[in-house]
Amino acid sequence: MTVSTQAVHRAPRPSSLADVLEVVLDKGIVIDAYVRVSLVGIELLTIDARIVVASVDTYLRFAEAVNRLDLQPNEQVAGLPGLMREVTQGGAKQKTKGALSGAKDTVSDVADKVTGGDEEKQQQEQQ
Amino acid sequence: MPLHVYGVVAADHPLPTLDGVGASAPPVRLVAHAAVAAVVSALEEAAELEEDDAVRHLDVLGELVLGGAVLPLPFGTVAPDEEAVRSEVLAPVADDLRVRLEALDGLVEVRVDVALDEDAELRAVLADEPQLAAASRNASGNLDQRIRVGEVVAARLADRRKARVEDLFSSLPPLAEDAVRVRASDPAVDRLALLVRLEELSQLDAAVEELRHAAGPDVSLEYVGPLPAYSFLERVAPVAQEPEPSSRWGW
Repeated sequence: MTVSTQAVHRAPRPSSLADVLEVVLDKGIVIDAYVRVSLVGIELLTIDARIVVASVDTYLRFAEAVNRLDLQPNEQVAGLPGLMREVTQGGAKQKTKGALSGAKDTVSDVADKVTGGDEEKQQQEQQ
Repeated sequence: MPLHVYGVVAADHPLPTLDGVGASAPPVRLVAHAAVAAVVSALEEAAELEEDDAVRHLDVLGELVLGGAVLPLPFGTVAPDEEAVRSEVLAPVADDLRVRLEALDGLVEVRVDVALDEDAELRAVLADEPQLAAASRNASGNLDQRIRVGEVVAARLADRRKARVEDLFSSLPPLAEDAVRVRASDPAVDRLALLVRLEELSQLDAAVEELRHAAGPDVSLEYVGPLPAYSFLERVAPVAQEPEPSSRWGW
């Protein structure tokens, strides 16, 4: 038998509770008409609450991050973590909210929705 | 006495000593019918299950799968008593359960999660297309143009991610019986579920370690298992029966 010279980093279960819940709540064989006991303290909504959104706000934050990286190429950009969480992945199922109704909106459609709507927000963005 | 039901195994599945869900940590045991058995533990009448119990539930299944195939049930499935387990859970589909267990005999699921470093990805996009930085500078004060720049950056990031992840994952499926991409609750994560023979797991372990080193510090990789074959429950053995259409079971 060969002895492994590399440490194997395989965890018996996911490190995040959200991942554990995703496995044990959503999947498995189901018995129709069996009612499950109430799950107290478990936020079932967290499973689907991570909505990947292509929003105007996301695009503006990307543009801002590009600016900051341009000025300070070797420094961490504050606020960058979390931007990637909003990057849409081709083919993934998504729910959208807010200004966009889907990937087919053109940028000018988006701009129209923004300028036609919240004037105060638009002023804040143009700093 | 209500019973929390974890999953279904072969009636002769080896049973380690395991604590079940609930504050009193009751012992996990088997309730058998014909060639199959339900994995259960006692649940207090008015029990409320919490997050720790969900983790416990998965730990029980993870231990059991080391001894053979397990068909998992969703966490929180409760039968009113042992008789109900036999007559309502097992008896109606005992043959079908047995066939599905045979199809998964000796097989376990492992999962590989990858996430790319956000900062590194954005820098790479800008290195490829320096004109984006210029465009962003020129666009300041113009909302429409800033949105446009951001949209292009988002599209570049998505393309990079897709290509990178496909490349990272490509070395693994050849080492497994089956593989499928699975949605992760965290949208920044890409996940691959692999179905592998338990006795060949060390081969896959070595490949994942290799991948972890090759991918470099800008990729975070999480490797989990063994789990029951949650992502491969539809798998059928070469000669398999179709489930009874009038069954109360859903797959």
